[in-house]
Amino acid sequence: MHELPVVSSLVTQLQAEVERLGVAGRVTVVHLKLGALTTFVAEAMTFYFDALTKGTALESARLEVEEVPVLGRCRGCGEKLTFEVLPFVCAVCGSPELEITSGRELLIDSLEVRDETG
Amino acid sequence: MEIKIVKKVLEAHEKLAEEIARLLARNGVYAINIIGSPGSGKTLLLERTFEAAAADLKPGVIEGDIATTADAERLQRFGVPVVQINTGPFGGDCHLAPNLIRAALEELPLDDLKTVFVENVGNLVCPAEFNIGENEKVVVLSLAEGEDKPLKYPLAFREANAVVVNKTDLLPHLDVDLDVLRRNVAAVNAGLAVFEASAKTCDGVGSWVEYVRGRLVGR
Repeated sequence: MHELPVVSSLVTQLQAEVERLGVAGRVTVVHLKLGALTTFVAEAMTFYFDALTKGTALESARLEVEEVPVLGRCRGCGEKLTFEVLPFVCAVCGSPELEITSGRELLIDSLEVRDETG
Repeated sequence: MEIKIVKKVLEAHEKLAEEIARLLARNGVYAINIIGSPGSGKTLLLERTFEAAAADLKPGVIEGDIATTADAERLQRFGVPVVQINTGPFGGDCHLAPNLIRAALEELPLDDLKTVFVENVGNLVCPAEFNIGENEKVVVLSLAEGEDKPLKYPLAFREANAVVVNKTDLLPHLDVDLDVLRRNVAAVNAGLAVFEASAKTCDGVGSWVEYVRGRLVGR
């Protein structure tokens, strides 16, 4: 439910980027990285993205959301961990003392742009 | 042609949150962002906290609701400064964003305060996502919500430093297993401080108040 203001910020930011890069109207894909621990839903984001970019310099762009896994490191034994299910404990030594190193991302990763001639 | 960008979408939010954190630090104010479902007992817990320790905590309050000023009115009897934010009136944002917090802080006499309690919009999802420059997040979870909530809303419990399990007076009337709830809390965040309390009867509220007092030691 809170994707709308976030996608609205995203679109504003993208408009500034395409101006700066001089690629207005030529962006075909926006690659977004979304951490699995965030509460944002990819389908809701693409839905709002299409609605908010209609009639703008980003109208021809599609939003592609790539999920970033939840990664961490055990403070006990130093093991690097990937979490797909709870609990948040070290799979090796069982310690709950963990540092979550990835999974909260919400990043504009890259833009795919059509050549000027094409 | 692919152009690499790598920029945070919430960068403006985060900068604002950092600015708020600096403002609070300059004024020596400790801010607690209280998150919980509608009806979990966030406001009553604040009332009990102020009954016990308003003189020491010198609190200011930012109340977030989609609509109504009911909560602000409940807290005003303690003579503490309260700013009500309504995100509504009929739909409205589901969380308090840092721009609203910064504006609300301008209305609070930060010079005279030691703490700011932000009672976020009742919701276990979105408020967990947005930092507002607070020193810590605290989840208020009422027993009637069920023992599975930490597993269903892991981000809130992961982001928080403490959870107040409220309405323990209802335990005899519910099918909730407190041990399972404790295990579920630990599965998401074993480092959480857990307080089991009834804001209604005041049972267990004392340890929560001591925890908050402890946050101010040496500040």
